Amino acid sequence: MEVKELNFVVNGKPYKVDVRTNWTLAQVLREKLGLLGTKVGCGEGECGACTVLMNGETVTSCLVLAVQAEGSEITTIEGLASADKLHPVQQAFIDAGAIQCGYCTPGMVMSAVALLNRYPDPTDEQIRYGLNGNLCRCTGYQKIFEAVRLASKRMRGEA
Amino acid sequence: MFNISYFAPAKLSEALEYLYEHKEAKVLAGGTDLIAKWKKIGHPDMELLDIRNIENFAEISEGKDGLFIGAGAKMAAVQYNSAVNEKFPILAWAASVVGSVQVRNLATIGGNICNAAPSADTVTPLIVYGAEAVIVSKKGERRCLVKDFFTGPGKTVLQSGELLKGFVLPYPEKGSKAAFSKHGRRIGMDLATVGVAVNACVDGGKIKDVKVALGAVGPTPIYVTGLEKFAGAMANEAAAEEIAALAEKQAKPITDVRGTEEYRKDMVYENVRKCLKKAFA
Repeated sequence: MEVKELNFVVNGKPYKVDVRTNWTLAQVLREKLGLLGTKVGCGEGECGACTVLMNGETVTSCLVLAVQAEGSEITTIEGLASADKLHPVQQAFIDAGAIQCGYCTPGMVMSAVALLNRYPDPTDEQIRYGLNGNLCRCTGYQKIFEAVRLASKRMRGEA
Repeated sequence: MFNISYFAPAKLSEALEYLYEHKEAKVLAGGTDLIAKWKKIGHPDMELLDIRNIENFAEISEGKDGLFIGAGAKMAAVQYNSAVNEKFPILAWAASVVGSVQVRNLATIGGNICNAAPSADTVTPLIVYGAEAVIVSKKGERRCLVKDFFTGPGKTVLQSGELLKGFVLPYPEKGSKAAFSKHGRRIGMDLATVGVAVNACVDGGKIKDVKVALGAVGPTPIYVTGLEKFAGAMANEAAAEEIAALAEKQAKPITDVRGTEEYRKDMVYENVRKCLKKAFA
């Protein structure tokens, strides 16, 4: 079984870990680094539960081999909050009641963060487009939609 | 089982040498098709050549004879690139409807073509824009029109030891206008039931040149032939209907979960007609 050394930065902290070449990024985050916030749903890039930021862009970490993350900067759901405060998107998800079972939530939040980076004041269509790689089987999406709206307002200082 | 050997060179020469020596090696770009498939078929052993780090492989640059798009350019890069949007708008559009945001941040245009799915979204625009694939190997470089690149589902003209370097898209002629349609069951994260791209050059109300390509309605993407006879014809509704009927005749769809053969044929007609109406306007 081939093993390679992986050097990367996760949530601002540099790591050097030995990984099997057949491991996915999601596996390393969860099993090597213990960052269990990143969920694995379908394992084939359809559901978006494993979404993390890789060099600032959302990717489904179940489709990225760990070795491909060499030299990259990863942000997971654990890396969004500051020491004493949740990220505005996380807070908005709570306040809008956008969480039911919670399994899709970490990926959904990461996609919402990326979406608001690109469109700080998104249209309805841009919100739907930005989240179409994340499935949620509980909420019917409306509350999630409202959470993104709320986060956008707060981040722009309007609420 | 389960073993992967992984090589990610920065130099093209190293990549070509590796491909020459490892005949079974698979080329890894975004991995959204390859890794998903690898998992589905039970994690077999693989030799992987990761091309993402090769110098200039993700480049999009305006050259004298056209726009060069590197095989490693991500869908998101194609989607938001200003030169692509300005000169080849339906290619940017097609890239913007591939998979999801996360997929477009990984998947590359080279992978979309080399995976050779008949439904690949960016293929039909590349065909109607007359794009050429630039293929490299240890022996040198050759070019192949994208319309001639596919030999079957998942099969291409690429020989052992050859690597797709990118595409050259000749700048569109003045007066030409392209249109694109991805007909599917839902907007996000779905493959096309029928894909259509058209590119028409109209001069003084008359057709100078018209190209039509179809996706998801045959074993390979289909380049509609026999359209030369429309040169000089009026660019109107009647011509659009006639070309749409010709396209429908050349479509060879199958029935699957996304639609029946008959439905797909009907949708070829409708979408080609609709796209031509836009391109003629």
